[in-house]
Amino acid sequence: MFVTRYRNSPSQRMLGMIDHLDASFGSLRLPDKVDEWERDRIPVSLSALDAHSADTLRNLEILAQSSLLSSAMRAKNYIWAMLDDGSIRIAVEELALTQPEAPHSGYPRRRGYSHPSEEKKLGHPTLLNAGAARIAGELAFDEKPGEEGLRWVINANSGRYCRQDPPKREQIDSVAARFLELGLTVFVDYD
Amino acid sequence: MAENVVMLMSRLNSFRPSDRDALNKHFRDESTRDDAFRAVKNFVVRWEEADWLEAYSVERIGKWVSKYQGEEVFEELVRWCREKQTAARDAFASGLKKGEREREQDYA
Repeated sequence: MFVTRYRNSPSQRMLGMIDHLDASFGSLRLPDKVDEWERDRIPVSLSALDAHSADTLRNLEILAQSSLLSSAMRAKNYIWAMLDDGSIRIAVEELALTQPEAPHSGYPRRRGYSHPSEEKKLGHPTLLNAGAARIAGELAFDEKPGEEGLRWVINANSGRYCRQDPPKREQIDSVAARFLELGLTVFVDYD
Repeated sequence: MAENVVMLMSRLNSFRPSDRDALNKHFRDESTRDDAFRAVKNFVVRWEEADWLEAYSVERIGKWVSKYQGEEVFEELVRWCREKQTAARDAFASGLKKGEREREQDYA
């Protein structure tokens, strides 16, 4: 009787939830570094990944099949990170430009054009105010193998959060499952 | 710079599955392998010339090359990394080592 009550206590349930999140997604870790141009910066596009933002991304996938938009869509990268409670934050990978270099913030970093060293960007720590994440990575469009069109591809490639302790395949799969629960189908890139 | 090399450097920039497929084809085909080598080396050299380094992205490319390309490609890039010590080349060499370890684990 005592054991049952103990296991069901709020603190025990909380510990159980933390254990579950640790196993499913990885334990909390701080970023390896925060670049000087990232300090106190927040991406303009920063959003919580919820049913609404997942629906936006799903609609974007429909639009990305159009030749009018596909090249521009493919050039963009999104970055995401999971917080301690299992919630996910996501943003367009934005350039670190500030005034007077650019009148507005939030310009997307372009992938597949020029060399990445030419464009300093706001990386994963800016999603979390340089705080701890369980796992972090990228979301981007890529060509569907063997057929026309683009599909969402997710990875757990974050130099700041996942370099020292790379996530296991099952943990990346769990993130993809979380995206799916919210309504967005993503393919997993383990490399 | 040859058009093919520029195109492959762009592929290294985004490095999504379809980009890696294109790189893979160039490394596997003897007639285009040199372009693939030049693209990888130029890509790392451009990082050497920059005032910052995204080490993880460079390391990731080294790891992939090591895991999925042949011994000849691996040896050539290890030798190239030893020619000059820079932070970018060190990151690339670190990726080559990580990929080598993963390849050995996969075979074990």
